[in-house]
Amino acid sequence: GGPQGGSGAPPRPAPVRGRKGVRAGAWAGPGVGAGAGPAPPSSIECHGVSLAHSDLNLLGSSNPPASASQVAGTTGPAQNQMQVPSGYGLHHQNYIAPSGHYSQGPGKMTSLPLDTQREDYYSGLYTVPTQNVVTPSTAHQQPGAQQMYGRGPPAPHIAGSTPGSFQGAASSASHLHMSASQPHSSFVNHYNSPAMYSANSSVASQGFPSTCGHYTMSTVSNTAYPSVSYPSLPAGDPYGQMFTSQNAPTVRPVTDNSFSGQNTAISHPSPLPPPPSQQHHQQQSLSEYSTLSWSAAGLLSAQDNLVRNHTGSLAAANNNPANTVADSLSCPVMQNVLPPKSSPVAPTVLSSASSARMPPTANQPVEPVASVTQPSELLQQKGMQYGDYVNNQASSAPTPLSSTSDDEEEEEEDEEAGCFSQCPNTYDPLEGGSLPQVLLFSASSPAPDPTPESDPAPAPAPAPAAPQPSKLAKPFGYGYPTLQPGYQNAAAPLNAGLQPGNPVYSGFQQYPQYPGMNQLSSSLGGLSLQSSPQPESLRPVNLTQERNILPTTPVWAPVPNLNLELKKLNCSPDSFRCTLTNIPQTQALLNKAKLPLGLLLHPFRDLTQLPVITSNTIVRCRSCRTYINPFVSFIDQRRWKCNLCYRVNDVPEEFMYNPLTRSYGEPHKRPEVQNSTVEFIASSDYMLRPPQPAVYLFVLDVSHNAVEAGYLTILCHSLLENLDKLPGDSRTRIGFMTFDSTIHFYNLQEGLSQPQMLIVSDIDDVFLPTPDSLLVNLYESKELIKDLLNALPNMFTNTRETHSALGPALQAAFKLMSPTGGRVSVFQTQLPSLGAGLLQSREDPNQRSSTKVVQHLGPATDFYKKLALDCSGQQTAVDLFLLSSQYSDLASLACMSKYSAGCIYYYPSFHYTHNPSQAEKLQKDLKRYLTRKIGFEAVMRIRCTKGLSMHTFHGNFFVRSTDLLSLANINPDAGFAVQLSIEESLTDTSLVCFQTALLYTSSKGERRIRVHTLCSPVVSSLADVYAGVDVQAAICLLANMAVDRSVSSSLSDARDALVNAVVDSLSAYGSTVSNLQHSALVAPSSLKLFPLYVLALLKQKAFRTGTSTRLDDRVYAMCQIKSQPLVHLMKMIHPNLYRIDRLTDEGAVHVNDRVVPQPPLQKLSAEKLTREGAFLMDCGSVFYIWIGKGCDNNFIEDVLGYPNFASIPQKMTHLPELDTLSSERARSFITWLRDSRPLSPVLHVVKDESPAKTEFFQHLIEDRTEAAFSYYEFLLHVQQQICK
Amino acid sequence: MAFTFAAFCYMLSLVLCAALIFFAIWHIIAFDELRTDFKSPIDQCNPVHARERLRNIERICFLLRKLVLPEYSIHSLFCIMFLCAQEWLTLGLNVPLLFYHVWRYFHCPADSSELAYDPPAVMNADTLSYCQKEAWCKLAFYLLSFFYYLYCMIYTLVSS
Repeated sequence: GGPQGGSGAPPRPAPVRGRKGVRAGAWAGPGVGAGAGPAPPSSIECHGVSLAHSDLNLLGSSNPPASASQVAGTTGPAQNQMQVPSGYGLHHQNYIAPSGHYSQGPGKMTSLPLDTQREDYYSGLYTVPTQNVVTPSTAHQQPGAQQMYGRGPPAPHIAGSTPGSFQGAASSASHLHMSASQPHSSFVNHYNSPAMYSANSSVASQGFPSTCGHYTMSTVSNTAYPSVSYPSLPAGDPYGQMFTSQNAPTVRPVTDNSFSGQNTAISHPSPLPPPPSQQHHQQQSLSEYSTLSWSAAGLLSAQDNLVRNHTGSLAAANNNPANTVADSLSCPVMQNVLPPKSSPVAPTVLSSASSARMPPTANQPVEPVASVTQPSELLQQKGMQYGDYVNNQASSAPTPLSSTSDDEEEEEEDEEAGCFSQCPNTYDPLEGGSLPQVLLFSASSPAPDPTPESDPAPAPAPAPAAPQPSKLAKPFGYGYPTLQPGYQNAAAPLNAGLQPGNPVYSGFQQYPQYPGMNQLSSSLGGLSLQSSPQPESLRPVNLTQERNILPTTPVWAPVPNLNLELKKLNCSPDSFRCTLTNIPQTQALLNKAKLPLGLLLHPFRDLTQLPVITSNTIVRCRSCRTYINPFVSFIDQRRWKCNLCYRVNDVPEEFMYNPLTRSYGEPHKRPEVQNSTVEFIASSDYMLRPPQPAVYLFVLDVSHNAVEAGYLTILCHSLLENLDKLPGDSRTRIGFMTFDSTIHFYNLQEGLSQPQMLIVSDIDDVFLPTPDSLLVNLYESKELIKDLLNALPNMFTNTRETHSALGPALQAAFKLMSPTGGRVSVFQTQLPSLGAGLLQSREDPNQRSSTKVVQHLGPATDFYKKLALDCSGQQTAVDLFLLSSQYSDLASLACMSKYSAGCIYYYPSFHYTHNPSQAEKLQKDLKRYLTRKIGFEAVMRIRCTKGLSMHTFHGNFFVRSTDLLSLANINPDAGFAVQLSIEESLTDTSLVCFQTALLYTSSKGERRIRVHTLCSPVVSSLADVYAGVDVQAAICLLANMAVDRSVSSSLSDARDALVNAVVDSLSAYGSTVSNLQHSALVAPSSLKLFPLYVLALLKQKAFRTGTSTRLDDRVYAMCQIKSQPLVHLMKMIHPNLYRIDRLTDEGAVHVNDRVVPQPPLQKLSAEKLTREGAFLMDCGSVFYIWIGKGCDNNFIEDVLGYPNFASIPQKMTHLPELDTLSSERARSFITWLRDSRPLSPVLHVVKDESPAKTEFFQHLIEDRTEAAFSYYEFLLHVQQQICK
Repeated sequence: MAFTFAAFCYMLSLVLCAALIFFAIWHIIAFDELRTDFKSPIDQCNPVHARERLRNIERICFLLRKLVLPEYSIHSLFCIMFLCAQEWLTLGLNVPLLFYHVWRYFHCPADSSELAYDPPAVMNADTLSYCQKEAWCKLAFYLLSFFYYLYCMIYTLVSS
């Protein structure tokens, strides 16, 4: 099955292949058609090759005229027309060549016409700006943007119209690419005369009929939301004609850029002013064509960046002209010929930009960043570097098409002949159909991009608009990965497939390039320290004076200040985050910064797309056993240098062969080197015994208390429903045990007429009544299991047994599971009162709100811990469901899960009728619990670059050796944290890497290794360290450390430590980095939320004092802090508050044809609550809807379904499905929030002045309570401490 | 030349100190074994090895725990003896360690009936390195005090 659980993956390949087949044909056909005109396809194919050969010559010859025209800037249509024929010829050759050879080829082909297209539009559109003196630069700039727009539309197509199939199509790089490019060609059709581009049009229609639909879609959106740039169109049109001649030249360099692949990315940010660079291009194309093009490859040293970048782009420019010139020259002509057609197209292109602001359009989700930032740029002609930054991200992906593939195609046409259609096939199974990294990146990239914010004054328009993208993007990153393959996604696979390319010329040399490029690209990256005196993340913020510290959009993980290539390859922050994205060089520097250094991991996260690699040899460093990853450097083709221990290793023979391109000698193009998250299917070396089957054992409390609570009904029902969805294969085994004061086993052996209950009453020395029929094969005994599940809820209804012998039951479970290992799910409803592991109540209710000492946070007995360790040794995890109404000593019971890598669920005051919301929560949680992915007998090893070392781990596991975590089970909802220290100075390295490798047995009995690699830059100045703080990760790590501290020392110690963390870091910042006066409490912008979050932590159930908190609640909160991944933990710590009585579609995103409004975040203070409003608070596991007293009756009626405030019931846990707009909006928003997390939260509607509102008000952490500071007071307190 | 109580104390502590030195060495070896897992990485990932390793860890921790009380009690015995013998200087030298031991003993995780060296806790790299450092320091201290006791014993025997 696929990495994403069995459901999604298997069906994919089929449609994909189907498409591929079609596409292959389609591409070959049109290419031919185009090349030879009316000639029959068969003959054309032969032509293809030969033509392509001649192409080179043609290029050479055609180039000079083209460039001449550029220089002159005046050559008229006449010349163009002359060029047209040759241009065509070139086109077709290009088309053919790649189609034969490269999976990516087709994409490139289409993109060519597209680009020409763009030129045309833009020449039309931008002629107005062009009149400025700035002309060249604008022209230079624009293309990036245009490219984005151009690409924008296809993406929504992917996302919106056929998500399913497209996901499938995305299975390989080429596919994705194809699909992305497809719409372009359709554009072309619309735009240009059909006759001329018949080739393309036929391609489009044959291969992807859907594109047309898409196209219309975008037009529609256009009409619906006329954009700002719209007006310019009419103007542009007339100009278009006037400028045709000029356009070609001005835009040309542009095209070069856009074509030049990754080079573009570099050349944009390059400090050279645009005009010179343009000149460069021209010169280039004039004279240095042959020499320059490959010189890029030769330059190795980091210092040469500039040069290299230039040459790179030049090279690209050189390559392209052949194609582009032809295009650019020929197209304008067409435009002239068909002005009426062109104008509808142009608006569409722009519409994607405009629609970004008016998100209801289908395009929306796709390209939040790009589109939002860019329009402003277009309009304002300023902040170009920002735009560029975005552009680069955008354009670098599509571009490699031309730069790299061009090279290749010229060189390798000979071999290319038939493998195109086959390659993807072979790659497919290998890859598991996916390139997740890309997705992840696109999800995360928008957020950290601080550019729009950093330019607030001059760009008022972008400022409000810019935050949106991040907001928009977030849900996609997590909850709706399917949608997000926006334009970046579409582009990235190319990148994955091709970028590293240039295989013949520059090949592996790209890797050495990285560190060098880092500087340059970052200089315009908005994060850099060089280009602007103070990066946004370092902007000092006066905390006591800034009232609205909380941004209105979700906070994003900062992106390490790496170059674009590395950024793109880097691991998604959702899986892997470091508290300091810039790693300090020495421990001394770290100590000075007073910030925690550590990693937060979510290694087994559900991924929609993940490259799965089967290979006989998994390439690893020989000394440190690091898996090969995108950040290694290839010294030459046969050797690579480990990025963790710097050992030089040989590339094994097998690795030389690239299944992606079916070519030999391209180790750097292997999927392992293209993705920082990959999964290997481990060979037999990695197992001594055969992989264990999935084994599930349910241990159920059936004492009086449990029967009273009634959870059995829910559990059995849920199990019956999900029995077929339990992850596993044909070997899956399942068993049941119940216990009260005795232990009951159930013999479910196949062949019995009904389940047999076996009672063991000797709880002091537990034994198994029968050895082998208690855990039975799920499929062989399904009927018996169903019988049992149907009977269980009623079997104990009249029980009078109040005791609970949990300890002996667990011992029995351990014995039962020992031979295989697996998962034990324990349902417990009270304090264990019999046999081993019995517990006494330790909670003194009077101490619940004590401000002094909170005792009993640690276990009362070692029994559960020992049992857990035994279980861990037998690869058995114990998951605890505690459904109690009274104190059950979770602190002791939790040990059974903590050390066996299980998970803990706690349902306080559970009752199936009295507390329906808990019952519903249990039901939903169970559904997730039973059906989610599971990995057995897992171990996780975290490695980091030499010089760094890990100490303390946090999470549920057993540390088996200092860097090896033993996880009996791994589930997708488990998060981990690691504290790091710097043992040796990192002065001789500029990058550090962290790698987690999770080896597990999948439920299908496959041994798999999931590898994540994260790369971070090393910095030497304190300012840089502060600039790279990931405040959320830091808070989560601190929370983990505080839990440890409260257990090992005391709660007050932990609280002090938390406050000190703020005090220390802010005072360290104040005294070293900021040179402002010390009277104010100043924090760098990256840390501005730090005090707020720490205050939130202090008021969190786990750490609060003074407020009545039940011990079990507190301990549960601590368990969650230890085991939740960052995304969920942050909501627990600092809930999100939204106003929902005035939801509008402004800024909304589209998810599965639903419009999801995106209200701004409110700060957690009662001052934000108005009596006239209704507010939704998202606390992770609970939603509260607070209804103000004076709330609009319309809202109450439309959304809640009651006529007025007074008639709203006290306990309301559902929003009725009403057919009103506001109800629809509210529900879609809540559903959307819900979908983004694994465990379904409970919804409480809280009326103002109802007793339940205290629950709600507890979460308003910025307000003062009797026991705790308000935010402002806290700041003053911190300031006082600093001054002391 | 007199066989005083002080001299007897020193002689006894000399013998016991040797035992403490042995304990300290054993600690160092044990922590080293905990720290290093001599299996190859692939072996380490093996479920079978996991069991073996876990048992090993538990065994070591069990022994470590067994040794805690004897060590602490022997050391406190020293202190009591020196107190009785009115050997103030020697007592003064030993008191810091005595306080440390008391702190260690009562500062263990809240309600747990067990002392330190909890298998899950001790395997954390920083705990482990702390324990190892502690063991080395103690070894040094016991070694030095061994010679000090030797000297003092001879001195008391000779002087009076």
